[in-house]
Amino acid sequence: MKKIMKREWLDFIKQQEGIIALAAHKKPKKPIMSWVCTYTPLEIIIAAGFYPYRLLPAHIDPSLANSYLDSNFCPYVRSCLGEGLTKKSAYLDNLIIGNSCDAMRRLYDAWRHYVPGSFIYLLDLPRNNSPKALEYYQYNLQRLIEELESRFAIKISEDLLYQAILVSNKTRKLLTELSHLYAKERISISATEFLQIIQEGMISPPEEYNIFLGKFLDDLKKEENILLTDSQIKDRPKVLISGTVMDNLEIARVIEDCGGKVVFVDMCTGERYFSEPITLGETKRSRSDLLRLIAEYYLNKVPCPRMVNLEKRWTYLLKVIKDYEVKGVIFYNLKFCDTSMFELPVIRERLQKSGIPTLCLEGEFASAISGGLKTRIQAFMEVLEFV
Amino acid sequence: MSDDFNDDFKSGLIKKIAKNSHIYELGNRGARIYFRKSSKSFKLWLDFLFYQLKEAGKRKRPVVWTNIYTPSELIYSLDLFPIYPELISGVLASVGLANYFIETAESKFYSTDLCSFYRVAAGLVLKDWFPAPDLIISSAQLCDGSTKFFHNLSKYYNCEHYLIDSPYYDDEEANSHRYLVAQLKEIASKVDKITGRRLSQERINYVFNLANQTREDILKINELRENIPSPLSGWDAMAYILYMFFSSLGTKKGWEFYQTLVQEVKEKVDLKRGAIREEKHRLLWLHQIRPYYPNEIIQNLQENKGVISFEEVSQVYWGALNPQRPWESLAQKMAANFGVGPIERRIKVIYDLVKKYKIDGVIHFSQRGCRQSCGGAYIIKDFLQEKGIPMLLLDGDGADSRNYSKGQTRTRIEAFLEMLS
Ligand code: SF4
Ligand code: SF4
Repeated sequence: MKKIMKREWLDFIKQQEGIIALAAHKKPKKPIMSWVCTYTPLEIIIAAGFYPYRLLPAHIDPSLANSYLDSNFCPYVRSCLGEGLTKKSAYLDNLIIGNSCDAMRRLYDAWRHYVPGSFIYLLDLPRNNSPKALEYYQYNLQRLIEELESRFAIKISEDLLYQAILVSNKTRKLLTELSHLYAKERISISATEFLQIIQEGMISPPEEYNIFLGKFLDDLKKEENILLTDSQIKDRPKVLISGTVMDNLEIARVIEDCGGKVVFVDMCTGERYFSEPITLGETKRSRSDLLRLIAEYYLNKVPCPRMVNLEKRWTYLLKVIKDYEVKGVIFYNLKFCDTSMFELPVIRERLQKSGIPTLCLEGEFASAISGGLKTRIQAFMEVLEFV
Repeated sequence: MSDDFNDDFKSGLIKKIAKNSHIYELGNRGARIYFRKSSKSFKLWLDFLFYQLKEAGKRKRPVVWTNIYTPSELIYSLDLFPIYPELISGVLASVGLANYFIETAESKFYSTDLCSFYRVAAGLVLKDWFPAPDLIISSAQLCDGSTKFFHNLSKYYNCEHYLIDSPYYDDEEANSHRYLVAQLKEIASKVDKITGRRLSQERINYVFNLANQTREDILKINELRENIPSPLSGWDAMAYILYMFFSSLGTKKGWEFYQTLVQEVKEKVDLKRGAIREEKHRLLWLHQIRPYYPNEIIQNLQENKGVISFEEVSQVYWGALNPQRPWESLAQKMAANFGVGPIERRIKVIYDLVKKYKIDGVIHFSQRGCRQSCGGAYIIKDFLQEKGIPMLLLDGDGADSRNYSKGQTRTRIEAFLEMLS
């Protein structure tokens, strides 16, 4: 039973990728709006009648963008541009870029100049969550809505927005549940599969995804036999991965092959995608109330390194380490990502002082995991055995 | 501060010396003798530099560490004493000390992929050489590196960091100016609490008027620089003059400096004396900085009769400030920064400069580790190419001399200037 469930799920994943990737040939039910940064309000995209689709071009060589963006740029951004340049798929027609970092704002420039004929919008993002920043961000959301309304001749009513929040909230709740079961090792899915399921959520039609994920979890809970018992759980050193975008999920597999257990993935392709749901309350609300809630959600969620609030990130990381009994932290950042590179010195020093070993790896959107990387992970796992 | 540093007696001694305000008095005297043959404006800059460090060391007023796109008029209106780690990094590089600090930073997990100016500055902080800040004010306008660096500083020094979170779009009608104004006001009221003094309109008038007069002088200089031959080399403009451009607006010393510089440039124009003997190629330099450690780039240019007639960083992009509406006009100044927002803004300024200064070729200095500027370089190049203006992407590093390849740089410059002929 366990195996069948898993296969079904993985089949679903494949099928979904098919739907999206074939969008150019097969018309999807709704138009697609791509996004790149988890500070993009998916609720607005959904309410506007689009499928939100995160650009995650793991198979695109960043060097494709070399004559358009400096090679000393984050490979995620270069891969996105590379994908835009090939312009094979319908999901590249519409794109919202968040002003998350220098790399993103330059992607916005390069996209406009070299990927012709698309709807492209830059959503300005504040760098902290002060009351003023909230107000400013809410205003920007309002502006985005107006832009979508005028551009696509639609009306984003409060009702649509409300429904969209319900949909996103559902995804968040389901993924949080999955994450708990996964971290407690109550279900036998690997770290790679766990991450795959999360990432699938970013590229699938949201309602359908929710249905599948809900069914998956229900079945899991029904079938007593697929919950692992305490005796079945192996004692492996628990690892937290912290970083930006995971370009190659194989990293998680290598960690597990080397004897570690990835319990938490603090990345924007991991748990930072789905923290706490938006609190809606019972009473009917106006559009600006709803926008306020959305703004609060995004600015107050677990911060990415792009936010200027190191203490908040530190407290959160410490809590994860404690709650999940983490033995060691693997930082996995993309090369040339300034915001995370600047955070490392302070966080690493603090972890060192707390006696928590750290390993720093860098992702380059390479097609395979190098032998050197594997050796470093292996050596790190050996260290953890003795902690 | 870092542990091994405390064990290190020699650094301890240097630190003591570096923090003693008398030492800057002595330093200034020494420098005056050493540089006695230099121009008057250069000596005024030295005076200013040593004065700043000396006063910061005395700590009579709160010391604020800040960055280049935080309007200095704000700092001086609030009666704070500024230290500019970015600018000091450049000075340290020019006296050959940068790599010492870079190594310190790298040993504390600062990646070699980060902008070298911040690696120098981080090293400086880890070594604890300079008067510690009472508070930190930085603007997010320059780059992510800057924002995150200053935030780290506040952790090392355990003091508050006020980030001026600058909006992407510059539309006065919309919320972006309001967002800036609200933040500036908040900073002012917080500083009031720290200093226990109320910000006075009198002080604002004084600082803003000085800043406006200085701005007029900078405009004069920029106008004089349209002359052929180029009276002032961009190479100098991006060194000590740049230091004043960012840190002295709103001070009397700053105004004196620029008045003197106007005279010096004017004299050159009257005598038709150019920055180099034979000027053939008029160049525009893109990026806020140039390499500061000893290098041969300027010789390479001169040997091929190329002169940096202008550099985008010296462009006066803001209007005169209105002391009656201080926050709005500071916000306007910030929002007018053409490095912020879509690349077309920067392209427009660059193209205007190309025409105004009769530029033959443009050099974009691609500072390793700098995302904000390098990210737009290809688009600028494509645009200029269409207009028939050649542009060279010159890879290099402003502070980390390990990334300077003498031969390669020379070859690229020679080839570019040859093509211009
Ligand atoms: S990984 Fe870093 S540089 Fe790349 S897009 Fe994300 S925040 Fe920006
Ligand atoms: S060179 Fe670039 S990265 Fe470095 S401080 Fe200047 S703007 Fe920032």
